[in-house]
Amino acid sequence: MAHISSLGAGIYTYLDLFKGTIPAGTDTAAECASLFVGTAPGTADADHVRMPSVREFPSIGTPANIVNVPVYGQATSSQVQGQADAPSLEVTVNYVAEDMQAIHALIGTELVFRFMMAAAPVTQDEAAGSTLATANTEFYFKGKIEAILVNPALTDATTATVTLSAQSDFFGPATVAAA
Amino acid sequence: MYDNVLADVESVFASEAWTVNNIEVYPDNYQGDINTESEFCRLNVLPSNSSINVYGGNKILEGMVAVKIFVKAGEGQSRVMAISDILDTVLQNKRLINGTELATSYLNVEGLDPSNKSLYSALYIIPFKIYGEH
Repeated sequence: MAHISSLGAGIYTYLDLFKGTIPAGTDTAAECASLFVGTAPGTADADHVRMPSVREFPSIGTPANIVNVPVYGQATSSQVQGQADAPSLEVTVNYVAEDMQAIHALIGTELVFRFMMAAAPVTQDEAAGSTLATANTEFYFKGKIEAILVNPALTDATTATVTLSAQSDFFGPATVAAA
Repeated sequence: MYDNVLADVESVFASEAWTVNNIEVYPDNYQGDINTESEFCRLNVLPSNSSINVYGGNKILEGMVAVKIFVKAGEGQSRVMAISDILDTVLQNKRLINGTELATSYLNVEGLDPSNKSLYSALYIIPFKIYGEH
């Protein structure tokens, strides 16, 4: 399917992880996307993990870092885009300890992340297909899970803050094509 | 989800921890006979709000469980308070079998029942919350 083509709430947003061996030179959206296709397309492999029960997503993408450049003879300085700091990547999840064991086990491992927005629910198996029948848009990046901090709450669900680090550019927006 | 909340709350009043007290509880919208007309309760489960707490679309359902307590008029407030304390022991801060979570209760003392002055009443209210599948 093509990119999402109408405005709507982003409730069908997912963070998928690829924990297998990442081929050297994986630095395009298409190369990252291929890692998320199952050995049998349409069935998730053991290397495919979905972040469970996400409550809050961070902003995904390369932030701006505007640098002012003084120019003699101008009343205002000029501006250029400098190398941006990687964004703070903190995902808040509803913490169900049993579901999070697989994520705890990945702390410090180099992963490929897929931030997927879809127009309708996409199961993990559907997300492991080479095609997708739902309008979808993805961003990919390489990185690690650095820390998981659990936040008990007195009157609401216990949550955890999962801190990610980005070790590459963000690749995308891309889309998984329809059949 | 709504069924689960009702089943959870009704199961509390079917449990031995409650039935041992011999206080009859009748559901709201019940129009049959009431066995002990000088002391009984009416149960009302009132879902009132819902929200999404997880990407993927599952929801939290929130509301209140209201138990109207009727006791014999003219004998002070102590029986109302005693029944409320019993309700606290079976409801307050409990997580029920289908996942309904009950918080802390409060009591609105309402005085003589306008339609039957031989009864004194109070409304015991306890908020609930149930999380959808995660």
